[in-house]
Amino acid sequence: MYKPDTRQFTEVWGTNQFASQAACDRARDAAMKRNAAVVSYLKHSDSNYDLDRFGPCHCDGSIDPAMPTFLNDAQRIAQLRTAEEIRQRVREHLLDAGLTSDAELIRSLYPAPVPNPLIGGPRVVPPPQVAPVAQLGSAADLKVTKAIDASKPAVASIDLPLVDVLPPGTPAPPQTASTPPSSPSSPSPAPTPELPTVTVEAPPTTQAAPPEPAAPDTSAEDAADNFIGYETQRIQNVLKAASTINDESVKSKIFEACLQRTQLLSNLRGLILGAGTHSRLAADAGAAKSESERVAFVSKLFGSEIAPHWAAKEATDVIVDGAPDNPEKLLRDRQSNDEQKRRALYFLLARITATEEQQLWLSTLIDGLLQ
Amino acid sequence: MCYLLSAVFYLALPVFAQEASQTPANNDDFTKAVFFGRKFADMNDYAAAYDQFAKAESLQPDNPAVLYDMAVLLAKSARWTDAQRKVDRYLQLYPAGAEKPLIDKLQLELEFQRELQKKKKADEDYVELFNRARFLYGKADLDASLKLAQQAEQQRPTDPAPVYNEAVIFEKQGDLTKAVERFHRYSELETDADAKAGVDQRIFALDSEIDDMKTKILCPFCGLRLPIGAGWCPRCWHGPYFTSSPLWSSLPCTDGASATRATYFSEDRFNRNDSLPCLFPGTMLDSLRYTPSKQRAIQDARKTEGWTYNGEIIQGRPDVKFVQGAEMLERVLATNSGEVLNYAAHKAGDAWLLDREDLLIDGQKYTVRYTFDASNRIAHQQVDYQNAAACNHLVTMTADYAYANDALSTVGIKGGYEGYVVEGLPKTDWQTNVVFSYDDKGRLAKQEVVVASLQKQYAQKPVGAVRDELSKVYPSMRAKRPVEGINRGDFCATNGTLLLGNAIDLRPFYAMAPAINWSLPYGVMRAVVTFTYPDSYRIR
Repeated sequence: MYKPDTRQFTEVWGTNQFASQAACDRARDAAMKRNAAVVSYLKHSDSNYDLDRFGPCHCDGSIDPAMPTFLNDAQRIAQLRTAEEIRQRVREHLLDAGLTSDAELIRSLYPAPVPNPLIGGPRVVPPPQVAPVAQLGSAADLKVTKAIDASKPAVASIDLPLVDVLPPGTPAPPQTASTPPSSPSSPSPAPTPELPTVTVEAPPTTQAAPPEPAAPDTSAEDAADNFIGYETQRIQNVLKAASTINDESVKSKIFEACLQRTQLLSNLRGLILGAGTHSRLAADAGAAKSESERVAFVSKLFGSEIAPHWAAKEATDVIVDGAPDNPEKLLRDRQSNDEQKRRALYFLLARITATEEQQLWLSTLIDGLLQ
Repeated sequence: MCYLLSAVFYLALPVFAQEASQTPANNDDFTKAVFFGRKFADMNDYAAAYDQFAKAESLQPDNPAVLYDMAVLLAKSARWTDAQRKVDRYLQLYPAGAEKPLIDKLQLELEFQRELQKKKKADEDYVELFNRARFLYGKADLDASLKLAQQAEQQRPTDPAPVYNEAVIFEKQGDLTKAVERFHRYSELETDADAKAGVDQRIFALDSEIDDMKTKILCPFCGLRLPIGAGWCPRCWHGPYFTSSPLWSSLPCTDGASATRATYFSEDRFNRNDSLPCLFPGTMLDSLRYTPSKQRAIQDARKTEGWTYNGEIIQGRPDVKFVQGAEMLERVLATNSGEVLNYAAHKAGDAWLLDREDLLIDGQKYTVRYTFDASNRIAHQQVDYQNAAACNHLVTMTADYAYANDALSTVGIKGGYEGYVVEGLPKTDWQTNVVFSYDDKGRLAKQEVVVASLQKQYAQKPVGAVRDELSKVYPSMRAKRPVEGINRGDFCATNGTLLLGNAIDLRPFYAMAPAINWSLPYGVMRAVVTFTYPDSYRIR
């Protein structure tokens, strides 16, 4: 800095610090311009007045104790004082040259502090006043219920035969349907009385089964009627018994199980009819009259594990858990044992409406299981 | 008579018509229609079968077997209502018909179908609850979404899905305690091991959050979690957060709370009253207590201003760089305007205490150094700055803190500077005392700032034109004598008609108390801040 009183130069450093080279360069250029304006004015009265000399911007060695230009606090204050003493001298010269204290040149000796609210704000701030806006959630954050199995049939098959229509004028036999489900004397099991508890009653065998043992040459249709009719009534009884249950989720599960059973019975009827009168399936179905014979037949067909669920004592017993994901694959898998296949058969028949092709395949498979 | 005959005629007509229709040709058509109907039924083509039976029905209405078969076919076609009509018709005409047992069974089937449809509808409604809840959740309507989830849970209490959804929504709402309770319940209901494991981790994270809510506060500037009792935020150096100090809870934004500053000139001449703005919604602790949503709100507010984060740690913005060290912010660089703020600090227990900081207030830079006592309270403070707003004097201020009963009672502040040769080597010294008084509930009741002394003396005559300038400021000023009229203010130069001077600037002592953050106007020798609170307001 040029000292006008001694006409000497004094080196000053460490009086300012900049965040970047660019900021330093900008400040240096501005200071040089201001100084040039001041000197230009003062040269009118003192032609020997000299410009300050500004060094280039560089790393600040005054804060590094290892550097020769390092300044401790006292030394830095001394530098600041030196610079300010010179600036005061210049100011006095300007005032003496006739400028007023608010003249642009005098004010330019001291660059006015510019507030920087980004880093100069209060140190204790209140939390944001605005209520936090709830972040938009993705619908995928929430689960979809698995309690509803959409793969289950929405409609249960109706397992009722058509009756023969007698030609007009033909006297109809009294109280007889041409294709009664079980026996001519008692065409179908009478509806069972209301069940006061959730205990399931087996349909009365005397009503459901024909009065005499089935002859060996019982037709496939009779066999199907014998077995399916009775079992359909059994499942109706389960439904009635379940209606007294209050827990909706349990009731729902029983309902699903009954729906599956109904589907299974419908498929089984088709298989019995399709297998024909002389098939093992028709023969065994026709021969299953008593409760124990029915359960034995079911065990033989679907495995012993299914039996307690089949002839459910309690409504909840009808629920069969642990369905395989792909029972058909299991049935076609040669490595599956018979017990696995029997169980898979139950779940497959409970799920599908068997096509003709599937009926053929299943008839062969069932024949093997019943051997 | 004529009417009676007509009535008889019309009543007899259907019987006559029926008998007349049962001609051999009609019988053949009937038999054919029935046969075709059976064949179509065997092929499971129930619609075509029904058409054939309908034809038979038209040829011989109300044949019981045809009625039954039509009912069965309608049922197999899932036309339940129509099937029921046929059943009803049958039962009306043939209550003891041959097909009665089968009709009874069909009736049962139809009832079952009705039940099935009812259940299907209930299932659909149940699934719809989930769809709507998910939609509303996506729209951030959390209250409505929660209601639907709760409705679903009421319908199927053992279904884990609605319970999980409630937990997620509670978490989103920031009610972590309820979210954890719901996740626990979900874990009880869920049978899938993987899903349970995922939720267990989530519960662990939430428990940790809840623990933080009890033990941590937030830096209201950058949102960093800090232990209760933290001094300053080590990542932005905002603070201090002396939450247990009544001083920092003395400006609540609640009804019945106020802070009024009365200022006086020398000889206790009243100047004016000023209402001080409130600072926090309640106590400092309650206002800054950590919650995830509050943290998000703070960070969002900063991000809106352009600040960026690395995790929880603020990094700066395009024109401001925060140089973060391993544990604390070391330097702030304003890359455009060029300012540099340096910090030095130490950790005391969980708290970070500043040893040195650079402060920027209204463009004026201060360097502040702190000393702490054994209880980590500020014991001494030194402030150095070059007053760029006046004559660039190098001002030094010191403050000594005294505590009584764990509360700050008095602070003695001294300040002064030595001027430059050109202006006559002036030397100014002042002393200010700050006294804090508390009420019987431990709340700050009064804060009084008194300028105990203010002296200025010039060591020599000012040089040249500056002498003329200063003679306008202090007409009676003489070298080596205390300046008279200094109580009007410590002036050093003019800027046109404006007087420039060094005010008693208490702003760098911001860490003392929020109501001290102030620069005494020229001539003010005393300031009293009186605080009022609602009766129920408590600090601890």
